[in-house]
Amino acid sequence: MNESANPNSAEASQPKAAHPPARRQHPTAVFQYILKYTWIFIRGFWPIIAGAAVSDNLRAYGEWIGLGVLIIACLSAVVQYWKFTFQVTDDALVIRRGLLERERITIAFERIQMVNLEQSLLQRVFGVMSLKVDTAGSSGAEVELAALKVQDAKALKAVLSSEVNEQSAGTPAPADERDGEQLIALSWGRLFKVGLTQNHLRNAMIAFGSIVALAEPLEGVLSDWLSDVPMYTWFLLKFLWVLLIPIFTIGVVVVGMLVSLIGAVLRYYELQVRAQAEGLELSGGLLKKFEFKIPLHKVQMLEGSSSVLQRLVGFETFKVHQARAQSDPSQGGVNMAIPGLESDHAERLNAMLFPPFSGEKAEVRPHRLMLIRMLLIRAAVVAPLLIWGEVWMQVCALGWAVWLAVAAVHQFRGVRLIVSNEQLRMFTGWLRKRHIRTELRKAQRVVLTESWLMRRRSLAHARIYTAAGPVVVRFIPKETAAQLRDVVLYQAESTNRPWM
Amino acid sequence: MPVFSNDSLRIDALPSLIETEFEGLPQRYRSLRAAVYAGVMLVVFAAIGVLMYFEWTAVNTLRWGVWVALGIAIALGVVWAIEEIKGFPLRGVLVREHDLSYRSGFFKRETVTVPFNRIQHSEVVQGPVARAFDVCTLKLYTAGNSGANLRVPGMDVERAKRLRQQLDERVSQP
Repeated sequence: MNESANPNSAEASQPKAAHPPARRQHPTAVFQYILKYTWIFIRGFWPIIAGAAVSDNLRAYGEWIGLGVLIIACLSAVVQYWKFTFQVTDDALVIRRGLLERERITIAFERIQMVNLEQSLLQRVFGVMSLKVDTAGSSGAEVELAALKVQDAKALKAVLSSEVNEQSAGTPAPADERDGEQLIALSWGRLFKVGLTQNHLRNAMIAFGSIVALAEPLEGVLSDWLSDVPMYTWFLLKFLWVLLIPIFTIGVVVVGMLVSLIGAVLRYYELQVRAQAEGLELSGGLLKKFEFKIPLHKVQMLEGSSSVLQRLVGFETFKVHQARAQSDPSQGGVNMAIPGLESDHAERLNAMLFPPFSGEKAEVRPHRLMLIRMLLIRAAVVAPLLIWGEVWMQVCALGWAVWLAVAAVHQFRGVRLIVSNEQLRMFTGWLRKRHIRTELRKAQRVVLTESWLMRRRSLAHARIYTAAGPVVVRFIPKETAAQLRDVVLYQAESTNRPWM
Repeated sequence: MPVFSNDSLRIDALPSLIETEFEGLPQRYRSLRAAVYAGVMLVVFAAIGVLMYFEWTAVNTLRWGVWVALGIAIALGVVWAIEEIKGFPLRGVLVREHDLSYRSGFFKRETVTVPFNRIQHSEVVQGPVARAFDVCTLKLYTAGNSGANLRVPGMDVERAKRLRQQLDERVSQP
């Protein structure tokens, strides 16, 4: 596939006069490896560390264990650094690594999905950057060069990503083209608004959760402190706890907003999106800087979403989806998220990524069986509380049930698919609206499913899989689903244009 | 750059997948599935039998849990049998000029279609049981994280190999 690893190949046999010799990374990579290994150890053995906090026996050997870990981490870091070389040839990036099991990874330029640069705070001190190459194959080959000098990293990125598009000679793109058209730049005011319109509830929960997790070891201290609180406070609290609810609520909201704001500033500081000849470039970040680049024809899907708050200020967040490597769903950097787009920006982004959505359009709506199923599932969730709960639980559950039912109806109303001959747009959601846009020719697999119950009403689910994930349309008439499949297959099969 | 045309599409004029054109899988595969069914049922009922035996010797009666287990086993056995008996004739492959479809399932019918020009690589896999029945599984892989694999179990080995060869020829030419 896109990765060929032949550990035993004779490396010196190929003539490589033209390209630069194999190089090592910047020496500071060693530090990063040490940090990485120590972190892996801590994460892997945290029960022991937690044990050490309470057990004197373990603590007695604590220094030795710590020293041992550090030595192992240092040794493996140095070995990894020493044995890791990379080389740019005419048409591929060649990486050799490993001590016992030598590995040689050849990534052909045309297989590269995305090159992205990142710079953490520590890296900035040393003036280095890390460069990640993402190749979306079923084998999921993702390679990271942990540390390169900034100008080296930028040069290498220019080489790699210019070759992504044109397989011309390895010249980096001309300087004037590097700037491109600036699609979006996030100003301070807008950044502030983006921060204010994040999901505060979730952020507050995360903050609350981490406080609780942190507070657990401090429990002893906390209970000591609590026992110092005079008795009459408790007595007062018994009657005044109602007053505490609004205070607590306001506290949660404030904490949530603060966390969102800080998160947004850290992540989206100086965010810029540029339209270049060879693709879309996204850069930004405060402590950890990043620079993504994605060739236009590799874009699989554009997903827009907006919460109630965001719609209030007219913002939408867009995510650019491209083919994902199979092995790392956890890697967050694969999707490019662009927050705070007003409608004119959104339009520009759309116009850049897709041809106009024109021609005959058909709107497809799901059958009301979908609503019935949604209601049934939700009822099944609430029912135990209603039946077996105590009175106050039953009251809460009733309210919850009503809320769920209302939400279900609205969500059901929000689902709609609009198909033209070449593209589709799928709209879902109620409070948090989402829409997905993709070209039909990007499809890689079409699946039609019908359960026994649906068959009697001649309904079907249609799933259209692109390299970046599926578009799922549920409970539509079988005939429509079959037509949709025919159109999609026709578009995918009749074109020779690159689709990923 | 090929000349790009953008004529309007007439949906009814497009080639459509015709359900009746699907080709069934070989009867040997049916025997394999029957053998698997028999094997699993044997194990399950043997386990329940042993359970009943111990219950009977220990407390000289059968408690309700045993009956529930037996009931569930029978119900599942019946449902699975219906799925196999009714579902097997529905299983089938349709190879067209530009794509391959596989249909399966009685209670939940699924039709998967993969265009040939989206296939990254293909595999023919044959386990020991499948070898005994002279069938194999054809696997088609597409790119990315779509989980977009098409698995066609129970294919005739000859046919799978021929199909695969065709595929490889198609895939290798741009």
